[in-house]
Amino acid sequence: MKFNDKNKPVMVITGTSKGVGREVALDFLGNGYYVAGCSRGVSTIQDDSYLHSQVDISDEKQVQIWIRSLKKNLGRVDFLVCMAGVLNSFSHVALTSGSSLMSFLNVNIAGTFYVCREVSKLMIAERNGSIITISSIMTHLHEPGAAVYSLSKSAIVEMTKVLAKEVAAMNINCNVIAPSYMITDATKTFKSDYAATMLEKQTIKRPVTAKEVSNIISFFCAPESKCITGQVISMGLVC
Amino acid sequence: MNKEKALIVMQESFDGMQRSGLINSKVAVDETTVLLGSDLILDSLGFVTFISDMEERITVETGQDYFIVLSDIHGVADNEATLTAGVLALYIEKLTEEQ
Repeated sequence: MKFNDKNKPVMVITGTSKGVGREVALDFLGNGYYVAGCSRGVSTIQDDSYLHSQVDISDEKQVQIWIRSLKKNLGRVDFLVCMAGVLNSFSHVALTSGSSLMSFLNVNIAGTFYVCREVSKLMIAERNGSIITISSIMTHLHEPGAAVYSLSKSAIVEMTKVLAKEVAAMNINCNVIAPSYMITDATKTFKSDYAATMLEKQTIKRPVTAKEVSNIISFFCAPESKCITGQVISMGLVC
Repeated sequence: MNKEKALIVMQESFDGMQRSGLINSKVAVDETTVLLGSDLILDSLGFVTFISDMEERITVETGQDYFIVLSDIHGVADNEATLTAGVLALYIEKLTEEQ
């Protein structure tokens, strides 16, 4: 598959088979972007401007081969949005297993790192690009039970800021979005009082929507935002 | 890809970077050319570009996907304070032999 229109921007989004990643992908497809997405499962998006790859981002080799294939097929990547992540459990530190810890670290930190590393190489060669990673307001709340999730999201902020400095000279900006509570497949599985508890802690007491996340992505990707790098926009919370 | 061919590919990569304006003057690559360490030809982002370009050129030459892992290169040449073109060429020879 080739994206032949050189005037259309190319956006890579991880985690596009469901949830916010899928909604964001659909939003940018609707706005005339080419989107290359990935997930561990099959594509749930049918669009001539969409290219799906089945990739486990925690697998370094899979990510390397995926991004190399994108370079061959697409030629360039203008924007990267790292939506993929896990939010599969909350438990107190004393009760958190090593395997649970590693599942967060492997996907949320290592997976995001591998994708950013490989795509940044392409952007460095092109002397252009925008990278957006996803953190969470949980890093500010210090909620009991969220230690592993929050540390993984804090790591993403730090990595993004360092990367922002490393690639700034190459006309690449790197920024972070930190959403508050969202209604997703993952949060739907939590206890019934989870939503109310989270909303009570937020400044804006309603769930953030995928459309609002897309809006901030658009802001970071705009040519007029090239001077904005290493920043975190928190949604729904005064930090 | 043997060591001699790897050095030729490195030369082609440097020539390409000169044409694209990443480096100002022509670099004549030999085994002693310093790629990483003191007396650098490339800045840090230039080095990233060079390694990415080498991966791509090796893949084109061999028809297989190869990825250069810097931490593995130190294992190829223990106690090397710098990375020279010769050491990288030897690493590429071993890398392409292994797969």
